Formats: sequence, structure tokens, C-alpha cells
Amino acid sequence: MNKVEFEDMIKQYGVDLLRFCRMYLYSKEDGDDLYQDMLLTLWKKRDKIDYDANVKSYALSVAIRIAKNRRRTWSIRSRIAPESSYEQMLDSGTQIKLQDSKAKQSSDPEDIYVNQEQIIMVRNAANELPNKYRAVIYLYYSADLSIKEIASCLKLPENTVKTRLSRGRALLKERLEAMYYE
Amino acid sequence: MNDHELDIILKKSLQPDVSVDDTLFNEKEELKNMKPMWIIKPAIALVACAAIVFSVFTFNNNANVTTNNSSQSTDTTNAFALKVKAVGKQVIELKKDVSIASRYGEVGAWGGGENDDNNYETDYYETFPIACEGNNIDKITYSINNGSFQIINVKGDGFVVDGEKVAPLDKGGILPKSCSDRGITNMEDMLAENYEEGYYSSFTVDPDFQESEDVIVNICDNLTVDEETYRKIWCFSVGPYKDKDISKLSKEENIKMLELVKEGMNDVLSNVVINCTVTYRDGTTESKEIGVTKIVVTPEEAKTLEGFKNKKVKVPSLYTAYKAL
Repeated sequence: MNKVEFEDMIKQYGVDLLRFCRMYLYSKEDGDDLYQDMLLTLWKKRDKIDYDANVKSYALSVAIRIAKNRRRTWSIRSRIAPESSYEQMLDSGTQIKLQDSKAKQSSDPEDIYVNQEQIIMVRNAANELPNKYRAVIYLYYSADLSIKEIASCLKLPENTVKTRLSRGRALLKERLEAMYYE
Repeated sequence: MNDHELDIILKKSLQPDVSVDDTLFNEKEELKNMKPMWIIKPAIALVACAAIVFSVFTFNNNANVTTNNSSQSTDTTNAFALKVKAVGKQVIELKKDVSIASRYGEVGAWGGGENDDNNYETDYYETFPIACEGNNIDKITYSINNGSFQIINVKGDGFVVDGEKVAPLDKGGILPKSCSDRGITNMEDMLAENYEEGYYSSFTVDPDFQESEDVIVNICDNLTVDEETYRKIWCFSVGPYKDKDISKLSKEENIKMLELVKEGMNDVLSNVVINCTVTYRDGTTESKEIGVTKIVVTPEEAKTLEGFKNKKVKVPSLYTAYKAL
């Protein structure tokens, strides 16, 4: 991959990659660090990366590997200041439209609005999932990877990815429904 | 909530908006500001807030061990003693079951986290400032039953005469003193500057070359621990002190907290036995075993504790200590 292709990759996938990094580490600051470290790793290895292959999936696997190597450290840090990190994520803005209570009652799923409180709820619930489900959920929803791409990224069989996605979703549904009723 | 609704909610909630500017990569800036891949954590001394201050630590090896080189000895009796660089700038012989705090005992690097299988893992690096003195020593071999030795030295210096290499732990490390003298503050730079790093289950050194400012020996391991042990070690972040401002603990509470950390760390270290086998010039060998432990030392105790001469302990602190077994 040459410099032009590298920059092209960032233009094409940068947003999805950064989204994943921020969600995976549940912190804007740490996510941005992870994103830059991932780019740095890719930049150093650019001569060995085949641009025509699934470079997005590969980049995410690099990010996951870096994060795992550092998670010990981050796990302590994130426990110390989860709220502030979380605030920063929200401050960065979301694509989610703020809802009013009526919109919540909308019968058309496409019109579902989610308010900030619910965003926090969903993200908290996702963050508390067991790691093996979290990664798949974030790769699917935050990084917009297909099942096949997730399988390639995590080096897992597609059926395993499907199972984890399904179980992760079921767990989230269960938790969110319980929260809505509280 | 049906599946389709859930899908939409997840998609909307888990896709934080990001600015395209945030995705830019500045190669030069990144390379300049590149953080160490391996992060070293100062150990918990008084206030465990050290856990959130991550820095690379370099081993201060200024004080020399007054090793009697075997080659210079005129005594013909085969004998050796194990000595540790103690806190108070002394070098003290290890005695059976007497824990002597290491000079670098406040600078352990411990990490912890939950792994993919939802088990708790802990890793640690502790400096191993042990020297061997004696007569007629041909070579000295250290081995460890659990974990490994991390040795960092200058390439080709011959510090490790022989050794049994094991898989690298890759969790951290503590750099030799000469690294800081040369402005090297992280592992990547160090490895690019003619240093090398190896992990060994056992290694052999020459009695005349047991230490150098270019060399450091650490003991280290990464292991699964039970939840109780994990919560003791990290009691200030996930255990009983997680909601307390530990910088404001009373002295008694602080000691209690340190005792808890100590207990957790000793759950891990109590399984570690280091064997030192000396081979004499006549081919005979002799072995001694070394244990490692954590101790809490209060200012009052430090006044009378062996190894703390010249060292004023102002606040209760946690130290790594070595003892003969």
C-alpha cells in the first residue's frame, strides 16, 4: 500500500474505524489514541499490506490486537474515570436525533428516535457485555462490518460470529427491556 | 421491542458521530509523540493513585554491589552467599525467612484485567537485584519455578552466558539505568538502540559480570488469578476502596489498604521460588533458594528494620522483599 492508498483508506474507512475505537474502549480519548496507534502500525507496515484485500477488516484486527495488549492498563484507567470519558463521548455529538416522549411512541421502526438517556443506557449495556460479544457487536454496529468481514477480522468461523452476534443482541435486548421497565 | 427495532436502536446508539478531522493521521506528529507500546507502572507505595500515573521506569543501578570476584579470591573453600541490594543503600546477605526489602522494591509493575473468557489476569515485573558472592565460583545459574526472568542488556555484552529461553511476556518491563542516561524512555526506542530483551526460565552468568548499568534482570509472570485475589490487588479501583479518595485515607486506613494489596500480591508471589545454583571450579555445585514477597513498612518499623539503615520512610509503603528459603 503506497501513501496515496493509505490516505485513501483513511478517507474511505477512517470514520468507521474511529467509531469502533471509541466504542470499543468506551472513551473518546482512549479511542482516539487507539485509532492513531492503529494508523501508525498500519503506516509502518504499509509495504506489506495489500490494498486490494479487505484493508478495513485488517485495520480493525490491528486495533483489537493493540487494545488487548493495553487493556490491562486501560481497564484500570477507565474504571477510575468512566463518567468523564463518557461525557466526552457525548460531547463529541451523536448522529442520534433527540426525541421527545411522543416520538418514542412512534409505530414505524424507521422513525424510532433515541434520546441521550437511552443512548447512555444502550452504550452502558453494550459495554457491560462479555468481551467476546462486545467485539462482535461493535464491529457490526459501530464499524459497519458484514458477518464475513467480522469473521475475517477476528479469525473466527462465520457461524461463530453469527452466534455471538445473536447472543449479544439477545443479551442487550434483555437488559434494555429490563431498563425500560425500571 | 422487536428485532428490527432493536437493530435500529443499536445502530443509532453505537455509532457516535465523528468528525472527519479527527480521522486524519499526521505521520510525523505520531512518530514524534509515539507512546511506549509497553507501559510500566510504578508500584503502589503510599497512595495507590500511582496506578493512574503510568511511566517508564529506569533501573537506578548506581550503588555497586561489593562483590568479591571469585577469580580474585585466595580462599580455597567452596562457598557462596546471596546478597540483595537493600533499601538503605546497603547490600545485605539473605537470611532464612527474613524478608529484606529490595532497593527497587517500590518500583514493581503490576497490571490486571479481565480477559476474553471473563477470568481475571494479573501480570507483574519486579526487579531482581540479587548478587552472588563467594569463593571459587565458576558460574552462577538462576532458575524460576513460576514465571520467567526478563533480561535486558546490550547486544553482545555476554551477560547471559547460557540460558533457557521462554516465550516473551510482552506486558512491560523496567529499563536498565543506562537507558535513562541516554534519554531512552520506552521499550521500542531501547530495542532500536542496540539493547536486547530476552525471557528465560533459567540463565547463567559469569561471577565477574553480575551487574552493569546496561543490564537489568526482572522477574515476571502473567497468570490467571481468582476474583478475590484480583480485588485485593486492585482494591483501590475495583475492591473495597474503589469509592474512596485514597489520597485522603487516614494512616490506619492506608495501612489496611496496603495490607490488602500485599495479601493479593503475595497470593501470586508465594508460588515463586528462585533457585540459585553455583558451579565451583572443581565442578561441584551448591544451590540455595530465594523467595519473593511483599511487605508493608511503616515509618516506625523502618527505624529498626534490617535493610532500612539510611532510609527514612515517611509514610507506610509497600516493598518487594527477598528472603532465603
